[in-house]
This record gives sequence, structure tokens and C-alpha cells, in this order.
Amino acid sequence: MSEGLSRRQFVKTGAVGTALLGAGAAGLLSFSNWIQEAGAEEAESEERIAYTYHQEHCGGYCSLKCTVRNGRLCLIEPNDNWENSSRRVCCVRGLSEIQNIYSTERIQTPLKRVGERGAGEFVAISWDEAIDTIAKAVKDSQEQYGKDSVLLRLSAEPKYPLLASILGCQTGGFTGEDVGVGNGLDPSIGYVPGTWVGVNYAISTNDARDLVNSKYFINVGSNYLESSMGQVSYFFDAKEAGCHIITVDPHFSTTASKSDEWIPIIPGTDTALFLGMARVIIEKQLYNEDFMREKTAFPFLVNEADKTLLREHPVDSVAGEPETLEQNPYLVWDENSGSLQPFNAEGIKPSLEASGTTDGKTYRTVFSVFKENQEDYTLTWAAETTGISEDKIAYLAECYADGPSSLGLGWGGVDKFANADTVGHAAAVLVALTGNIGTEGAGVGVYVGHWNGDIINFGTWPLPEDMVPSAPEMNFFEMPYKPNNVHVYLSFGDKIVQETPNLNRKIEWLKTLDLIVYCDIHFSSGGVWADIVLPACSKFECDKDFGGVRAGNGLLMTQQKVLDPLFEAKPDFVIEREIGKAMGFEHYLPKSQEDIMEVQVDPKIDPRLTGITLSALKNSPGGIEIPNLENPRVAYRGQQFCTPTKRMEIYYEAMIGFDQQLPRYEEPHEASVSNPLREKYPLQCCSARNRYHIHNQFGGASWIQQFNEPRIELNPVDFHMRNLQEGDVCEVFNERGSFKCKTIMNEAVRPGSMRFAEGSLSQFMVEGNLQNVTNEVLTERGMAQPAGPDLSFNDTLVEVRKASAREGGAS
Amino acid sequence: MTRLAIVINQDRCIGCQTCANACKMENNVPMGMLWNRVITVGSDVIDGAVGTYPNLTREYLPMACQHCDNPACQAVCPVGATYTDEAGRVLINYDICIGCRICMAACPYNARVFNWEEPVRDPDFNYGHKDVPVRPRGVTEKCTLCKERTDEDREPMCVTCCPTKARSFGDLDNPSSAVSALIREKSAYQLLPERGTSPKTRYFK
Repeated sequence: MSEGLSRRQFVKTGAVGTALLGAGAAGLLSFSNWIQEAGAEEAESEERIAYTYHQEHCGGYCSLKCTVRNGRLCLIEPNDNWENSSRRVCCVRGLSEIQNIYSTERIQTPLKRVGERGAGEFVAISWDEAIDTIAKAVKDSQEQYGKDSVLLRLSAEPKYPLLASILGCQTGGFTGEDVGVGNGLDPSIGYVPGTWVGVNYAISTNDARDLVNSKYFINVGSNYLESSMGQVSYFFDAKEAGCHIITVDPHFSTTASKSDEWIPIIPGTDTALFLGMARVIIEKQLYNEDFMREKTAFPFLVNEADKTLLREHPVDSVAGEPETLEQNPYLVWDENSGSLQPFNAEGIKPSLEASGTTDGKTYRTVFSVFKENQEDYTLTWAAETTGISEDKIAYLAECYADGPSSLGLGWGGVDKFANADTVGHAAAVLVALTGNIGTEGAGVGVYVGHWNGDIINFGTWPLPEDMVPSAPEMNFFEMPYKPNNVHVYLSFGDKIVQETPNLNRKIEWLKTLDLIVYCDIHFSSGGVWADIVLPACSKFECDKDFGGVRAGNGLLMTQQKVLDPLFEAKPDFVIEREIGKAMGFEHYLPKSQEDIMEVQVDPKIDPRLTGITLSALKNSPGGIEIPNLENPRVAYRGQQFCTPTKRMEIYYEAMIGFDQQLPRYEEPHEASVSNPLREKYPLQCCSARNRYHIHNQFGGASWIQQFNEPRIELNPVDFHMRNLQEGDVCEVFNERGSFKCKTIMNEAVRPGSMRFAEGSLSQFMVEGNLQNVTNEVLTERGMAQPAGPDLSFNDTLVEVRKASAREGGAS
Repeated sequence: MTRLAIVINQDRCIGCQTCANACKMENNVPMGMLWNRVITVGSDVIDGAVGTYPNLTREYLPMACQHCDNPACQAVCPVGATYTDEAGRVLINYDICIGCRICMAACPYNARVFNWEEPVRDPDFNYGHKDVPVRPRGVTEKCTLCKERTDEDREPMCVTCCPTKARSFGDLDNPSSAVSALIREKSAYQLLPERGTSPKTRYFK
């Protein structure tokens, strides 16, 4: 336990006479001083069962059955009350909570910084002092600099639905994460109400349960079997049903090893693979002409001069309201009548390859332009660019065209490159060529997590109309680089380090702020930069009978009280309320979590909840299975898309200025093969997802550390080239900074790459953090895209060298 | 007769170690010890691979006591602490075990672990099933097929928690049990058959 202390560099024992670190910090941090066993009135072996749900950012949405004995959590199992056995799930992380919730890595009391920012020196303070400090700083800042001088960043787990409105603060704009591929795919298909499909995260159109209906599943850039632990069964159900699974990944990932085939690829070149496949599909005429004609923008006509699409009359660019399609439809060349017709006219046969002149301007169909676009992208070029043989690319194209096929995309791979939007766009074109969408077994997108399932809409607590967040001044990821008005930064969950490439630049910005608040369950890498630290409860703890309600995995789940709050932690609801109260808004806030649940579960908001009452929910063993959600989702049935034209709009007029109206290959920003920077930094830095973390969560759990501790992984070729020995501490570095950690060799890692688990906690490394080296580039194109630019963590070059003995010794 | 056993579909095993922690939790296994874990065959690194990039293979092998019909550990135990119970489970009587560890040397599966020191638990209380005996320093321990659960007609915890449903549990002496059917249909194999231990645990791919 003293190790836990030194790692976090708390104030030395005895330095200050405060509660946490005064007389015998180790004693205070030990479990038994905090959690007394139940009193003598409770029989020795008395047990009770309670149900809760687990952390959700993995998308697993596990409902857990917990056994409590003598006031202590003794067993965690999947909730076995569900008729549908695929909902009875938990994973290695969920079970690690037996230890993790009692961990010395917990933030146990509110803390106040006493040393320099970043030194990690804190003393315990009371909740009253912590809340008063925060409220005063927020009020002072907003009085002096305006409402938006306060920035609130919430990670996925903390539940503070009202806080931004209560504070009237800004929330930081776009997410910057997981949107890369979606920026390229989703605009072509459009948002499907009641789902996450089309919201620019590239969420798969059909959910993972539908893979059993696919003939081929081509999985590109996703380590599904580690990223989606709650849904791993669906992968094997599909495989056993005869779906042929091919994984394309630079590394021999778990998913690659369990697929029927693994095809390695040069990192960041996935667009070239898709363009190569498209070339084969065109040359061998494997495309689906009817689908292209009837359901896509391929027959639309492109102005040769300015690349815009032909409409019935010129678009009035100064008009206040954009014209509707009824007012000004796109035109196509109708082969039946031999004339230009609105694309949606009855009885027409739109031509795929017409060209001609009207009003003195020359037009060709999108398909013709695309074919010309493809002339640069020969099979030979694609093979050279991706490192995949011509035969394999042709084979992949033939498999994909021979549907029903599903195309799995990232999260954790190429979507963390600056060119990720072109990957999504090229995938959209493959779909549009083959028609692999809108039917059973034919889906596209990210299959990870139950975000792919049906989304239940909840009611929200009503606040006064003028109680709203400030408009974002800019995206949070721009703040270290552009002047802004932020003076107080509230990070609920570790939004300090986790979402931050080139951390050293952000730290310079952090140093300029008046107050930094960090609230979390466990102390994460970013906590050392905070001035005030707040301890939050895990999903196993609450002060009242219920801690919340959540929908996912076909379930409406409850968080029952398993344990009273541990240490001095408080539930999110209570923390939100106490901040609101200190700001003077208590009268607007719900009095209890159950008040919120009452508003949330409302059939008027979501008719699928009809017949489910809150009292039935509370009396249930951890939740209720929502009726009629048994079947896999198939989005765009009838191949009706949620775009203005109802077609797949694969031609992006908004991207003409960037020459990306059709997908053009663009080398990775930094980690390209040809970058001269490789002479100094020859290795691509892969920030990998693995099954042992949900980003920065669980890195401090000793039951997880049995299997996984932070480590630099190199292929033996790169390992030996640097004369390393197993277990050496190495430094990973580039111009941005460096970090140090133990190093191992692993044949599964691609030569030329350095693999490291993203979210690894600084306090368990020798020095620094992965984010010290990651690429902060923001593309101009990304700024113009619907979900903003994606952060390009994997588009990074580094070198690895053995740390000196002195450097390596300190831990 | 009853011969309880676990049959494991290795194709569905993703090496996630959920079974390892499920076992650790249920059986109050201390830090530094596991009764069950997933081995990456032929690799010293968890999630490593065999071969040279890109010609690679990987096989995960969940490993715990194989509950042999002819257990080498039982044969060598000088005090009769290891025994086979009426359900075919190979068990240890911790009160009798003298800590000589001859059984550990005899077990070809390296399934047993030994309490060299006072057990250290994190969290520092007895978690798991309330009836699982707490083992003192100086005794050997291993998988019991979750005796306390299986006595209540429930599956072992590793079976219940496996996220890919790679594990099946049942009675080998009941020809209509799921495990008997898998052995018949999938030609499920035994580990190290040449050692003559005849494990009840079976694997298939």
C-alpha cells in the first residue's frame, strides 16, 4: 500500500497533519479502516443479493448479480434473470471489481493540491471545503470573464446530465474521438432515428447479431474480440453458422487469430485497400447496377468545371433557406426518354454513364467520374500502398461483392489517423457499388458494443429555459493552441489526459488556468494536474436504494444499492446536486435519483417502454427485458436511406474544396511510409485497445495487473535491432516528448510498429504517458466535416531506445 | 456413477482470462495464485504468437485441474489428502495435506499451487462462496470444479462467466448430457493422453 502512495507521489507521510496523510497514511488507505464489517446483529454468514450495472463505455451494458456478505462485495456474476442467454454476460474487467472498488487506487476523500501542479502533492479536505472552493471559483470566474470561462468535460461514465446547464458553462464542442471513419461513411447514409446509426461514429448499420446472416464478414481495423467483450458470442455464432470471417489488421490481434483469415496491412493505408477493391469490382463488373441506378447518387451529373451536381436550376447561393429537393431536384439522364429528368421522377431509368452538355456546361455521371477517379488507383498501386498482394485484394473484392457481405470498420485502428474520413468514404463507395446494405447479412460500420442495438430514449429533468450551457467557443482540443476564455476547467472522468494528443502542449495550457477540478472513481493519469480532486462512487455504491436506470442490450436495467458509498466517495447524483446547491440552484434540482428515474422512464417519450412502470422496474431483479427487441437491427430496410434524396449520397459536394467529393487517397499525415521523419523516428506508434482496459479504467486493478501491465511491445526484429533484453525499460520518444516503460517482444506486433495499450496509467509506468508522443494534427478538412476532426493518435512516428540504468531504475 | 467434467471449445476461447478471475473470486484464491488461467500455447507472452510475422498462429489453452480419472497427484500423495469424491471430482483435504508438494511434481498439467506464505488477499477479506474452505499457509490447492456450486446443481463459476460460452459442464456418465454429446460429436480430446492420467476435462476446436 505504501507503494500505491509513492506511485502517486502524495505528500510524504507526516508532512501535513491532515486526515488523509497525517498520522499513518498507509493505515488510512488500508481497506479495513474504512469499511467496517457489519455489526454483531448481522449473522456471520448472512448474505444478500443486489443487482447493478457495470461501466458502460465498452458498450457491453452488463447487468450484474452481486453477493454481499458482512457488508462486503464477495461475488459478481452475470445477472441470470434474463430469458435471452446472450444478455447474461460479464467479463474479466467486471469481475476485477471485486478488488478494484476497494483498491488503494481509489480517490478516497476530496483532495486539495499543495505542491506544484503536476507534482501530485495533495492533502485531504472536507467535502464542504471542496464544494465551496469549486462554487466560489466558478462564480468568481463567470462574474469576471463570463459564463463560458468555465469548461466542463464529461467522460462517458460519469452521469452529470444537468451540470453544464446549471453552470451555464461551455462543454468543449466536438468529441474528436471515434468520428474519423464516420465523417466519411455516415453522410452517405444518414441518421436513423432511434439508433446511433448515422451520427458520424460509423456505427454499424446492422448490429452484430446479424453477422450470422452474412456470407462474408470483412473486418478492417477493429479488434472486435477485445473491444467488444459483451458481444463476443455473436462473432462465433456467425462463424459457426458459416460466415467466412476475414480480418485486416497490421497486427495479429486476437480477432485476427480467431478469424478464418488474417490479412496484414501497412498501418493507415486502408483507403488504398478499399479503392483497390473498388477497382476490381469495376473492372470485373461485379457491381450491382440496379442498386447503383435506383438507390445511389451514381447517376447524378457532375459539372466538369466546378464539380457541383446538376440540379433543375442553379442553386441560389445567397438564399436564406436552402432549397428543398422538391423545389430544385438533382437531375439524371433518363435512358427511357433520352432527356434530363428529376432523379425521383416516376418511370425513368437513370443512366450510370451518360455525359453531355446543357446550358453550355459539360456534365458526366458520378459513376463516370468515379471510374476516372479510379484510374489512379490500379491494383498494382493498391498492393504497393497497402502491402497486400494484388491477388488478395482481388479476392477480398470478389468475396465482398459475392454477398450478403458485411464490412466491419474501426475504432482503435485506422480511425485514429488523419485520413480516416477517406476510409469511411471509400467504404461507402464499396457499399454503393455492391448494394451490401439494408438487408439481412449486409451491414457496414463499427460492430463494437451495444450502441449497435436499439437506443431507448429517456425523458430529461426539466430546467428553466434559460438555464443552458454556453455555446462552445471552440473545440476543446483546440484550446491548447488558440487563445480562449477558459479559466476554470472541470474534468469529470479523466478528460485531462485521455483525449489529449501531444500532452506536453496541453500541460502548458493547463498551467495558465485558475482552477482545475478532477472527479473520478480511481485516480487516473490526469489527476496530478488538478487543484481539487473529488471521489466518486462506483456503480456498486449508492446512498439510497437506487442509483439510476439505464437501457442497453435490450434491457432496462437498474442500479440497486449493492454497497453504501466506500471511503468518502459520493454518487454522481449527490455531487451534481451539491455543486448545484452551492451555486444557489437547489430549488431547480431533483431531490433524489428516483425523481430523475420517474422522469426518465416515460412511454410518452419512448413508446417501447409502454407497460413498464417504475415500480415494476424497482421490484425487478436488476431490470426488465424490453419487449420486441429480440431481432437484430437491420437499418435502411428496403434500401431507403435517411439522406435528403433517400439514396446513398456518396458524392460529397461539401468536400469539393478539398478534392474529396469522391474518395481520394491521402497518405497518413505523419506515419506514412515515405515520411522523411522516419529516418529519426522509424516506428509507427500504435495506441492499441485491449480487453483489460476501458480506456483509462481498470489499469490500477490488481486483478487486471495479474495479466496486463503497461509495456512497450515490439516485434523481435525491431527488438533485436535495438539490442534490447526482455524486460528492459525503454524510452519511446519523438519531438513532442517521451515516456518510459518496460519492453517486451511479441511476434504478433507488426515489424515497424511500436504497440502500447492506450489509457495505460502514468503511475504504473516508469515515466511519462503515451500521450506525450501522440500526434495533435487537426486537418482543415476535418474542421469542415459534420463531426469535426478526429484525433490522430495512431498517426504518429516514434523511436524506441533503451533507457539508461539510472533512468530505468526509478519507479 | 457421476463423473462431472468441463468440456472446452478452444475455437471460441479468446484468451480473455474472465474464467481465471471468475475462479479466483469464487474460490477466494489469494494474490499471486490462480487455480485457472488461459495459456497462449508456445508463447511466453500472453497473447503472443507462434511463427514469424506474418506467418503466425495462436492457440489459447484454458488450464486448470483436469480432474483425471487416474490422477497422478492422488497416487503419489503420501497421506491420502488428495482423493476422488463420489461425483468424480479430484479434491484435497486441507486438514490432512502436509505440504510436501509431491503432488505438484506429479501433476503433468501444473494445475496445483502452493501457499508458501500466509495468503495475501486483495481485497483483504474472504471473498467468494461462503462455504469455500479458507486454506492456511503450507497446503496445496487447486480447482475443485466449484464443489460448493456444483453441489447446489449450479455450474462452476468459470462456465457461468465465460463471455464466449466456450465452456460446458455436466456428467460424463450421463450419455444424454451436453458434455457427453460434445465429446461424441466433436471428438473432444484429452491433454497429454500419453501420461495415462485420463483427464475428464476435454477440449475441442
